[in-house]
Amino acid sequence: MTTITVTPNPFTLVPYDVEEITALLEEAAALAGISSGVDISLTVDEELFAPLTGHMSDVVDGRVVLWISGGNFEDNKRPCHFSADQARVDLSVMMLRAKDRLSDDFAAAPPDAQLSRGERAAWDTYAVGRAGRLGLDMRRPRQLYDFRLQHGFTDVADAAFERCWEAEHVTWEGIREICKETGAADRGPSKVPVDLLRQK
Amino acid sequence: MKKMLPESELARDERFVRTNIEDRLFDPRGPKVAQRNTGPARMGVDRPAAGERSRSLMHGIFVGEIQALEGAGRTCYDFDDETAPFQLKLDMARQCWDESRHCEISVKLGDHMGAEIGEYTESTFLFAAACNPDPVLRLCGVNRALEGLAIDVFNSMKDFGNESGDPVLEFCEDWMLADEVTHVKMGSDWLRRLTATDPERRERALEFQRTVDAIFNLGGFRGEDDENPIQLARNFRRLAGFTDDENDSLAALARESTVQAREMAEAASAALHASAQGS
Amino acid sequence: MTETTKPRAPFAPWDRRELPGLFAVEESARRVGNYKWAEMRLFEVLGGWVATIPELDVKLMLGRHTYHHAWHAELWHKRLPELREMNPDRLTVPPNDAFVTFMDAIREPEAPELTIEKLVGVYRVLIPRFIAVYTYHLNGTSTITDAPTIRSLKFALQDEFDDWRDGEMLLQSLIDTPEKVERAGRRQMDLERLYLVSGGIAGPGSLGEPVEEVRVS
Ligand SMILES: [Fe+2]
Ligand SMILES: [Fe+2]
Repeated sequence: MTTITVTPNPFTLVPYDVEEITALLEEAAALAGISSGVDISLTVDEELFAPLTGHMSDVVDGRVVLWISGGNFEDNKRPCHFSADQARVDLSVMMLRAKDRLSDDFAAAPPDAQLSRGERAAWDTYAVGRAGRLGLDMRRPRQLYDFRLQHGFTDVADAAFERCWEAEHVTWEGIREICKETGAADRGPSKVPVDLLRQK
Repeated sequence: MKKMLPESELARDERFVRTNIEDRLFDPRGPKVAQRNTGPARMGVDRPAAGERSRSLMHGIFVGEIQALEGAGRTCYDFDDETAPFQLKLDMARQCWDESRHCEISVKLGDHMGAEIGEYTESTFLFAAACNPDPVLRLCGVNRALEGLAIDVFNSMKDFGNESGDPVLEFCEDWMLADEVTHVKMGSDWLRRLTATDPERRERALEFQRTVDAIFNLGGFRGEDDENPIQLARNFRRLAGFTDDENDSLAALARESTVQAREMAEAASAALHASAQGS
Repeated sequence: MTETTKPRAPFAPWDRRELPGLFAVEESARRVGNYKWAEMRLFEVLGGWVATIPELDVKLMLGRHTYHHAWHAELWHKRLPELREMNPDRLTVPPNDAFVTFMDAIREPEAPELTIEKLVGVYRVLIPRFIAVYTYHLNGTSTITDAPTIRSLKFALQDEFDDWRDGEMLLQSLIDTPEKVERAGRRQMDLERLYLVSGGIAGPGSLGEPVEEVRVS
């Protein structure tokens, strides 16, 4: 039996519906193949609006702990309004990454707040590519640009992107290899904390 | 066709969704986010949501270019030969071609970043400045204030392209920057020529320019600190005919507190709408 | 080594340019003034229409073409003083009132659903007539004395041909139902009738001998 908790409950700044989000989260967990019995908690920062987007997927003591900016759920065409389509996409990517963390393949991966931007971009690409193959409407050019920002606008980076996007099985070690290959690993640590938006 | 087309009648296909600046101004989340550290607003690969913020800004530039094209086009049409001299209209026609290219460039850059046409809302305050019934005020509001902002935006984007190693962005922004300097210069030249013997009209035009400028200092969007996403491009502004005094006062305005900037932007937005109605 | 003192003919054997031409200075200036007036009205309305057109490709094309026609107006504006007209505004006039009526009709459509009407007026009626009147001037004027006008005509014609093709292709892609074919046809017919009454961009005789007065019921 899985317990899903969504915070805040209720939303006070934006008209987001906890029940609707919970249902979408269940759907995403099923799509990602998270086994029942794993508890999931999701915190939505309702103060943040688009384009201040971001999300994090961690596993703490066997529980999936998720954080997302309210901006990710916001309908770009109607500020303050919830977009179920957008939420479905982002929650699925988050759950796919949570699933990775629950496996041995990513056991050595540090929490999201400690990942480098390059590592995160490669991992996201791996998750977004899979979400697309699971039938979700994912936008490749968008992911490619985000990947290039962290790995460079080079042929080597583009080839690495292709591999991450198409891959059915990548490990944490594989993500680190990709960062070495593109040179992202040589970039100094980010001047800005990667979880800055999460800090209040 | 009538002269003076109101902002509400701008023609768009079904992809575009319009919003107004008030939506943002009265969003209850605005003041909360303003008190938080969302990272260096200045564009960079290290700032949170770098990709999404670039796409959103790029789309804003794209719709801004459409409106700049529409505004320049209307200035060719709205005035008779006495109110707007032939040479001024020629300049505006030239600007139409330039802005049309900027639209093309922005669409391609949007593709490059993974943005889609109509993905974000469009606010039409740029065109509102182009509805002023006095061509001198119109040129001050559009060519000096808004195109001046375009100089700042493109220069910041060019720096971002350079920093992120994105050759496409850097190349395109450099070219657009060259055109925008020309457009601001047109505004500066016509302001001087048309108000040479009418200091009162010149003052009104500069006041209108300040009104439009105030909107864009909203929440520190533009300034000279790391907190400002868009940096004041002093050198290019000088090339375009802005005096050091003008640049200094714009920078001072930008340094006003966020709350003050918000109040000024609200007032400016109301004034802009009133001026478009010819009152 | 080149022989510097050997006389050569001023005209190379293949240079067949001739002195005679159809237009005296005054007539050339009058026509150029009419061209400028028509190009001005055209570029103004193209610019004005941009904001009223929802189709992005058409919008951007008009932005480009606005400048082309403004530049032609500028070429004619600069040519006028060279044709002894020191006050270019004096000759920047329509050939007659009927031509004003015709241009007003071209410029009339405004609503966003009237893109076909806008484009038909410009690309199926007016620009083909610019091509005709410029070609007539080009072919008829003295190739030696009026060479500066010829140069400008050639630049303008190059644009007119390119712009006509751009506009015609967009029109063909917009006219996708039998009803739209009818609409385009009706619009073209209405405007051509008005044009006929005016006699042309340079008035009666735009393409040669003045024609008999035309009555259109
Ligand atoms: Fe522009
Ligand atoms: Fe511009």
